[in-house]
Amino acid sequence: MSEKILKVSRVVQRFGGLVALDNINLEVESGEIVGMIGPNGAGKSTLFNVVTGYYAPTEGTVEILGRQVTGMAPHKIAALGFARTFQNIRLFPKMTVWENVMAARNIKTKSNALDIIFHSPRYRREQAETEERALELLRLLHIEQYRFHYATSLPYGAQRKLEIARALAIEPRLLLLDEPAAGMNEQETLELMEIMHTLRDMGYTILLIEHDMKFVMNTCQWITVINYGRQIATGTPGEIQADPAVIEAYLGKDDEL
Amino acid sequence: MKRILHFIATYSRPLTLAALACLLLFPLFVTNAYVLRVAATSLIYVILALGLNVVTGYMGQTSFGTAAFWGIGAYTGAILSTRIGLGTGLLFLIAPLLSGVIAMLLGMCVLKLRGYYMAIVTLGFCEIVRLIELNWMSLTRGPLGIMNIPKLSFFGVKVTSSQGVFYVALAMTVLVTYVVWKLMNSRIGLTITAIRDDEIAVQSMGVNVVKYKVGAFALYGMICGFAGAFYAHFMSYIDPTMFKTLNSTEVIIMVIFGGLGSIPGSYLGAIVLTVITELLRDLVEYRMLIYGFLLVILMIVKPEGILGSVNLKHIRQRMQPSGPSEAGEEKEARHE
Amino acid sequence: MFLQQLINGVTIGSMYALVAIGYSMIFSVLQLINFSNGSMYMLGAYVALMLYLRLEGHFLLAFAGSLVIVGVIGYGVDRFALRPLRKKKSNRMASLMSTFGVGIVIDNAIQLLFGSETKSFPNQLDFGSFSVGNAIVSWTQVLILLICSVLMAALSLVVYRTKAGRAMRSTAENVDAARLMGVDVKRVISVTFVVSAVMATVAGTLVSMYYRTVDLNMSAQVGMKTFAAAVLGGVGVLPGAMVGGLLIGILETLGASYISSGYRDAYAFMIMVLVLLIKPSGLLGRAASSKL
Repeated sequence: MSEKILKVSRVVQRFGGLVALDNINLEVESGEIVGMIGPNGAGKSTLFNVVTGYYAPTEGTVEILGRQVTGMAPHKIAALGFARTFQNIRLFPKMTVWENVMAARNIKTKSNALDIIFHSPRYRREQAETEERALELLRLLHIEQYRFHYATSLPYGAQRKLEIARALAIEPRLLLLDEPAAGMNEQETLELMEIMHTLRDMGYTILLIEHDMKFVMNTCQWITVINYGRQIATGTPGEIQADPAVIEAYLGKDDEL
Repeated sequence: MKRILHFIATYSRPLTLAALACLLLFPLFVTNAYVLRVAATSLIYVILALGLNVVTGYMGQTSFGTAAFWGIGAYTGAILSTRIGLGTGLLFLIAPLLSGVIAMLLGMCVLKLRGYYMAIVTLGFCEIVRLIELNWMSLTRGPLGIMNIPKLSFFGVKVTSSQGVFYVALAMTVLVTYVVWKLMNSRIGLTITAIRDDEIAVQSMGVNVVKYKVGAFALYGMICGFAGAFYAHFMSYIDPTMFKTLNSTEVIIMVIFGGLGSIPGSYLGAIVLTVITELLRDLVEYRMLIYGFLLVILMIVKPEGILGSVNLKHIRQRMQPSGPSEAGEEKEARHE
Repeated sequence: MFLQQLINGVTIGSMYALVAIGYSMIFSVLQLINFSNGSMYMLGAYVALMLYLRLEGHFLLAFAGSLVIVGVIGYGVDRFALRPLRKKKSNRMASLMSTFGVGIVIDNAIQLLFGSETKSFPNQLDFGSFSVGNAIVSWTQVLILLICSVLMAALSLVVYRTKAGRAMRSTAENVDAARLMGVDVKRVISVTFVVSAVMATVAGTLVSMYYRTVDLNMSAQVGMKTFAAAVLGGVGVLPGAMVGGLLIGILETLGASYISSGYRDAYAFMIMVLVLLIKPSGLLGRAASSKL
């Protein structure tokens, strides 16, 4: 029933003399929500960039659905069904909210330039489908009311949600969210948590990085903790909360847990 | 101002048809050959501006290659019609294809590189094409240029009247406008605009960025080549001095002046600057000086051009009852 | 024959290097191609000539005057055409087109002020020539090489060994960090523009003396070639600009004599495109790290 979506084996990433990731192993199966936590600069985003092809790992391999993708171009990995958001939001500022999501439907449409110029039935059908699907996603993320606004004029929390909607538009097998709740107030975080539950019920598989512990403990089935590029613990939320290495890493940083 | 924009947005379709009707009727009322010639020249620049707008306005890459592709189209047209006697109909297919293929090859070489490389490589490319036009004597007759290029002829019918030439230019302009408008308002245009704004985010959506960039660049090459094939017959004489980097610069200024990523902007920029140039014939030596100042001032005052920030579709959407409130709109305007 | 062409190529290449340094320095500080740099080169030559004719033969005085005048204009370009854009945080293309506009203005102003015909430029460094093997070397060439070498060495010393140079390099590295460390970024940028204008003036004057003429094609030709040189060597790296300038000078001279002189101005670009295809960061450039 459950399928192995992502398998990261022994990944090492060095930048010059700096070791950003040291022997990371990670598996995500379909339908799971997996969390990644750790202090700032621990290497979580670096791992995201390795998995999505923006960095080629120095050592180790990344497998997607049983297929070797180490060193593959980012757009090819995305086309295999890996959608992501970015820690520092990357929306298209000169487009409306709706257009932002529609732009991401590109690889789900087949009509070519000639279809468009001659306004073929296929193009018309796909265009209508794109608009409808994008609108559905905006509804799912509760940002439909903003659809004619420019993306960057939205409140911060809504921008984060829009990025998630955009990532969902390619109908991903795995959704990678880089700090989805960052900058959100308590109300918005709660709402996002509900959305995550909806997505889980819809069958999405999610790997996320987050600092908000309440959020992570409430949404993720299991969690891996990274500190200084090393995986110091992996387990269910309950196990992680009780793990002495994790407590030390966090108490040492005087962070909330 | 806002009311005017709302009016234009609401009635954009009838207004476009009315403008087209005016252009169609224009030669019936104005029969002066000189005026018609200036009008046709304006339309050629509109075509070039639309082509460049795809690359510079929608995709955000500066290209100085306009004159090169324009020249390739013109030389292709001139050589094939003077030597083999090909009809214009066929030339209008061959010239854009050749320019498009060359643009595509150039694009495949340089569009993988990010940032400013495009500007400088196209600048060099333009110079190289001019030098080839100048030195390949057996093909292009070098500095002597190609003379006595036959008049436009479609399936054996020659177009001799000024009116006829104007109508051919108009038909070409309408065709190019339609293609650019249709493509830029489709998912392809959306993707190209997205590439301008954030290439990394576009990659994360599974899109092969280089493919789209090369495609847009090839379209630009084709459009310029198309304009060139017409231009050779229109002028009946061409030489390498007509396709210098300076001519590329003129088109860049038109596109920026009118508005980046705006089709009406390309019309505005091309027509206004061509007509002003004609009116200022006596001040011809000051022309480029004025252009230069205009460019600097534009960049400081309104870098996206006169119509660059006007998106009629967005204005229309906001006017719907379900659209955002006026207050929200103002906030966004400030945000831009 | 070969040796002769090589010597000629090194002479012209060393002057390209001086102009290329201007592109490189401004690029490293502002991440901007200063399209007006080629115009500065031509302007330098014309101003030097004009002052020389006015001052009736006081060449050194005229030369010094042209350095001051073009240096001030270089400052003005940044002050009036670029600083307002930085203040508005405009995108990079706006700045690029702004420098392009400045270039057009300067080129056409020169045409209006001095006329479009080719003018002769007196060679003040004509001390005869001597022969090396079967090649003839003029003392002008030797002096040009000497002046260029001294200038490049001095500039390298300033950039890599002094406090002012460190301010410049830290601005190039990270503007915000430099500002926090107390670097007067505005001044660094202004100085960079003045230095690049002065370098261009020196090169423009020397080249005009070497060829004994000035004409209106100088700006476009040399502007493009020297930018190609800067990119070829690795934009933002001083030694890169020097190597790139020399290489382009040599290869273009050899190409013109052994392949075809008609394409003289095209070789620089063909070489540049080739190098970029193989190593996008240029010969001596560091690979750009893509920030995510």
